[in-house]
Amino acid sequence: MGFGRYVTARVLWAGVVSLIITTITFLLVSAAPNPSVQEAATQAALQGGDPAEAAERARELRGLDQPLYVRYMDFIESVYTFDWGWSRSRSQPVTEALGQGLYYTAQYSVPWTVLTVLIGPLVGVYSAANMYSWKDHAATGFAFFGYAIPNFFFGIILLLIFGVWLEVIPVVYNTDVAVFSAQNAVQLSIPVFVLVTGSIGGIMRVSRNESAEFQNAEFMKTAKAKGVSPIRAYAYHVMRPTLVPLSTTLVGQLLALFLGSSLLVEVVFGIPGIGRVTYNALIAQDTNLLLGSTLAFTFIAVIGNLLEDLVFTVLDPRISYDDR
Amino acid sequence: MSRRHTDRTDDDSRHIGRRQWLSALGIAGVATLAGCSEQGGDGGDGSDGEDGSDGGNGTDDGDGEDGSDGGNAVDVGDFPQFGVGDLYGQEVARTLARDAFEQSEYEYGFDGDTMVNPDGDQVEINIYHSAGQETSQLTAEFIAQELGQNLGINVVVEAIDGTRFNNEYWTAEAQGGTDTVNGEELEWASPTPQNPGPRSVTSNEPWDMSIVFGLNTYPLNPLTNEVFFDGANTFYNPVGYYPQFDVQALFEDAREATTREELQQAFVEIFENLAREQPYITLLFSDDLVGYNPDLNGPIENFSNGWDLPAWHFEDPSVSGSYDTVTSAGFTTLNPLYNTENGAGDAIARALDQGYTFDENQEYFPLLYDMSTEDGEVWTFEVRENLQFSEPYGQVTAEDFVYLIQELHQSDWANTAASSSWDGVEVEQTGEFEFEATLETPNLLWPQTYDPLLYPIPRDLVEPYVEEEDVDGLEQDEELLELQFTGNLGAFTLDEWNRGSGTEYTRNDEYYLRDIDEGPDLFSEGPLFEEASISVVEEQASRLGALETGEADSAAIPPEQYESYDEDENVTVRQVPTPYNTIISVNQRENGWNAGPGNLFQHVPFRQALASAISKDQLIEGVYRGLAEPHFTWQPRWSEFYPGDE
Repeated sequence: MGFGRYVTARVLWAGVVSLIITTITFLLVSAAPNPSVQEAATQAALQGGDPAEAAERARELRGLDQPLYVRYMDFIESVYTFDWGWSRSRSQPVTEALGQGLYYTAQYSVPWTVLTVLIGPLVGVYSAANMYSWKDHAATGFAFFGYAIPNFFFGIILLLIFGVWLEVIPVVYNTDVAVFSAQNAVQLSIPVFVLVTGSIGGIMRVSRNESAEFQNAEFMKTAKAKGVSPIRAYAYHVMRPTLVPLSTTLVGQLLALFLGSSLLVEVVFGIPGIGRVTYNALIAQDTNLLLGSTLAFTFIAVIGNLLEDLVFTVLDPRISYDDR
Repeated sequence: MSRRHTDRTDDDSRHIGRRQWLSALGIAGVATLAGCSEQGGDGGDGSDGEDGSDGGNGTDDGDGEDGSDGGNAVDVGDFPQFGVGDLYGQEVARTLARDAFEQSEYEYGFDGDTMVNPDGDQVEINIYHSAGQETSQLTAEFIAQELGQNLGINVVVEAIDGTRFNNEYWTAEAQGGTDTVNGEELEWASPTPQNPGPRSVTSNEPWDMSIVFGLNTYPLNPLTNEVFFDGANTFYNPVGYYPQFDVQALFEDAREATTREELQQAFVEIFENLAREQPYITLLFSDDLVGYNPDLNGPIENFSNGWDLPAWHFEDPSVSGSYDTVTSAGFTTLNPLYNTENGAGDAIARALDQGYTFDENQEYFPLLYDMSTEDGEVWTFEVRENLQFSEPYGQVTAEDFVYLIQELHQSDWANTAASSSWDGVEVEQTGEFEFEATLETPNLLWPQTYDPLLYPIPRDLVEPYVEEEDVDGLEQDEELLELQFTGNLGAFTLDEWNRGSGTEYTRNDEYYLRDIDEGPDLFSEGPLFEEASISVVEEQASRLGALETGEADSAAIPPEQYESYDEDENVTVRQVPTPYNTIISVNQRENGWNAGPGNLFQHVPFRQALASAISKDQLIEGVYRGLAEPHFTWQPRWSEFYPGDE
């Protein structure tokens, strides 16, 4: 099997996975009672009308009297044409709500992800190279501190120090400034710092242990014997095999963080990102928006896994796609 | 914010009393004895009719009105103020309690300092407070200490989650039924979860006393208090209170009043009786604490704080700066037809005025229209002639309002937020700038119900939706959602509504309010800010931080941080009175009073005894840091309908 065929197969499989998840979502939603139908019935009852008739009318208006397969086809069509309906809790189309959320989330999560992926393994390999020295302990201590302190708490403390006392960053997040401006970089510096310190701990530890295994491997001895510089030896011969097992955890972990810890940081720093959009949709029982964000995360996860599988083969030539 | 941390020791010293109160509490289980007997009407139907009481110095033979406590050794007067002055203390509380023991068919009494039940055991009852709320807990502990000292009751303090309390204790399955109240047969024909039936109908869980919920006292429109007190079978009566005065006749008088004097007379009599009967043991009204930028001129410590926002300004009265506020939650919609949230209401109000407001004397102040009536039945609306929508909608006329009421609020398809306000109201246009509304039953306080409060909406904008009966289209219309039609109708113009982060406005140079004759002089130049904004900041610590750094000009202050902000020169704290009270709800239903047979809470003198055993002044000073007003009857002191107490 060639690389092209492998990629095609993975992409097709990703399509099937997303279809399965969408179908399950549809079945769950159609099994649940529709709030707008109940609302219509209640309204009718309060005004002295016939609740059953009002519910019937509401069902008709929303096409809920159609057979299941027709509704299923409609649903699938609207999902894949991005017609995701109206968000009642924000009074705007769902795609627009998600787009706005992602716009603000991307502004801090892109630097966050890049820095985490860069710094985490670096610190890990550095620790491994200086194992059990004070440098190792300092790096490990730093990583554990960030991992251990809750993000929202760390965020509030830093906001207090830099926002309220020193007044170097604004307390209220300003959505007016341009994405690539010094002002934006300043107001995002603290949230990004909090998130990076929170996420490199795990990565640093895994890469430290992995690279400890490789730095005494046969191929390192060979490299050293051939006179390869220490930097090149670590960057090339240790880092690469270290990243293989790491890349499996990276994607999953970052996706979880995307929704989980970013919500708290968004709340503390007042960033109107995707975490808050999803959380508020849940609280407000905004079905359309909730469905939309579920689907969005599903698609991100499917694509993430796809990328992960492809990155594997690039990182480690020993893994071949021939036998998959 | 640093001050908050370093001042911790000061904070603790203010709570010295706390350990004291704790020591007054015994730890013991709650006896859950049932066997309450239903107390029949205990003589007298209460009201001695209209005697033209003006609420003056009540030294007359007011006892006659009580009916129930004829042999009372304590003269409580027309308008008793329990818990202060002569009506506070061990002696008066015990005298009143003894009256209650006489009324009870069971033998309660005092054994030395302790109150004992017929078995000779100390009376032990429990009180619930909101879990996790320090003020609520301290209040409950203070009550326990006072009732222990002055009445010898062992009060057990318990915390409970508000939702759980509501579902299992406060409300019950509506069953209905009949009972004898004041010697008359009364039917619970339309029971509700908040008044499921007579006293025999009870919630799932037994409870004695609670301070979990406070209620609204509706000072602008006291008629609304019908829901609590219009007879034992009224809409909202979780505690099973049976009024012993003819409250229904008095509410009827208030409803039918055609002059302000008649109205006041009826209300004053109602509130005097409620002060005497203590259906709920009234404790206090706590203030809202709002922190402001100290340079800001305008905020007042008044229920109507903010009504004259167009005259607010920084330092000298000229147009400058930006008025920035923060809110804890985003807005669901800014469509004026469908908004039901307070926060979004504020966001709309920056850019679009409503029909009228109330000034600092709680008097009607006309914005878009003036309302007048002869008898409270037919109301005339006079629309100002200088109101303009944005192009292409032109001038605001009576037709826009009439169309809005008839075709949207009164339609059966649109379900607008105001639809219930216009049920049964007949509306007719009587001129280009005038229309009339005829009510089913007259109501002199109609404006105070906020029912006739309208937003101006252009007829041409909504007409296409009306023809199609298109609710979704109307709800999702961009011009309505983004307030693009507001012309000269608001102090500011909405620039942007970012769903996640809030709203931004710029000054409206054409604001109609500049040309009106009424109101403060500064209206002629208003508004006095170049810009305005409302930012959504969900985290309280961040909102307070923004207030301290000056990024926000106003934010709510939590009571426990009052001192640190009051001392902060970057913040001016205002105490804004509220109509929400703090009360002890005493369960007069059959699952209340778990200290022995009978239910002493059902006897007026016993509730009076409880009220006079708790010092309102000490409670306010000790727990509320002086940030509250004592509460004697179902109105705050600043209400027009508060019985005189001078």
